[in-house]
Amino acid sequence: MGAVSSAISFGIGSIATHAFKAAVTTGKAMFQAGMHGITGGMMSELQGGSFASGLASGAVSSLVSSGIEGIGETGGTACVNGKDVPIMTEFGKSSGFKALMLASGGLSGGLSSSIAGGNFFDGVRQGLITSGLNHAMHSMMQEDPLKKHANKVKHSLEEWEARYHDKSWGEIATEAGWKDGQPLGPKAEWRYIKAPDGNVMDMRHVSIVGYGYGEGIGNIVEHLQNLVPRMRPSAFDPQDYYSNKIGAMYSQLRSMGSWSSNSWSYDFKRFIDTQYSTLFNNYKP
Amino acid sequence: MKKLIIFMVFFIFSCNGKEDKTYDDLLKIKKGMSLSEVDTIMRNNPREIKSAFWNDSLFVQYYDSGVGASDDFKIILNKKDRIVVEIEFGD
Repeated sequence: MGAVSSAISFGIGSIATHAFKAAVTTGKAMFQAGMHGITGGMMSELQGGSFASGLASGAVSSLVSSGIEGIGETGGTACVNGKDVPIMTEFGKSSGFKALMLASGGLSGGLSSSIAGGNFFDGVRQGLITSGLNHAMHSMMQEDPLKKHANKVKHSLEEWEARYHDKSWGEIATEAGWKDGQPLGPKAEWRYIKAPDGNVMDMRHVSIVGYGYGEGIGNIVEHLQNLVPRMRPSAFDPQDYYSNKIGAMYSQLRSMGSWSSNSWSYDFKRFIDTQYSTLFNNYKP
Repeated sequence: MKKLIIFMVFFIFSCNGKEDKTYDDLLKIKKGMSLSEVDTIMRNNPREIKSAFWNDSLFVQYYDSGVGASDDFKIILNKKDRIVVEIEFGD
């Protein structure tokens, strides 16, 4: 019975995400609470409990989980490999956030079941199923934002290095032209390159923002984007932070001089081959 | 650095009426819409339309995104049925 309830609960999350947007909204939260209430009541009755207590624990724990889930999201979504996924806050990415979501779902399920005249522990169980398999699992299953644009990678790092071997940093940074006085980086099909761990490096951010301006300026740009409504969807993009950091670290190591050659792309490939796995081993967006 | 400071001043105080309008219209575009629905909603014309470099079965409508955004606004559609498959809000 627990497995059936879990499967139904997981399915509700999938339907809600499909019907509404990926991020938490009032409509989505109400839909999920209603569905969890009804299925919680039915499951409770099938197990000899009361429909009202099952309904209360399912609906209340769902609402509480949605509320906690909302705290963990910025409200924006990012398109990752063609799918809209919510952008998480720093707190939302932490394991403490998932634990809080589960604990609050279980506790609120137990309390609401008790208030409705049912068994506290049956309510806790229903609440855990609701918060765990519907909300937390869906949060955990979000796709990696560093794989964003994986479908747009056309060339390997080796090909990238060969193409730009005899180009200066300035030539690479301005290959796609200029916009508002800023260089646009490599041409579109050479913009995205896979790192050794499968993450996608945005070579515009690597070469211009991270390498040219530095990580601090890159961070300021993300905050400035958040101030302008038309640019807000692209603010705080984990992909940008990641690519900026690669460029900034490459700049620091290359400027030390001991291993820099005349070729920017050759040095970049060598940086990735020899330093990336150490520097980005535990990197989290 | 001087260029960057000028850019940031422009960035903060820029008023991009045309691009703001494009952004407002873009928010109304949903995946699955047809090209004719897109044309009805978008008040500004795309600056450029071309095949997607990463997938020959798609084409991209590029719209100006204004000062501060390095990437264009994009609506990506299937060539075959002219249905919206992705909307990008710049970079």
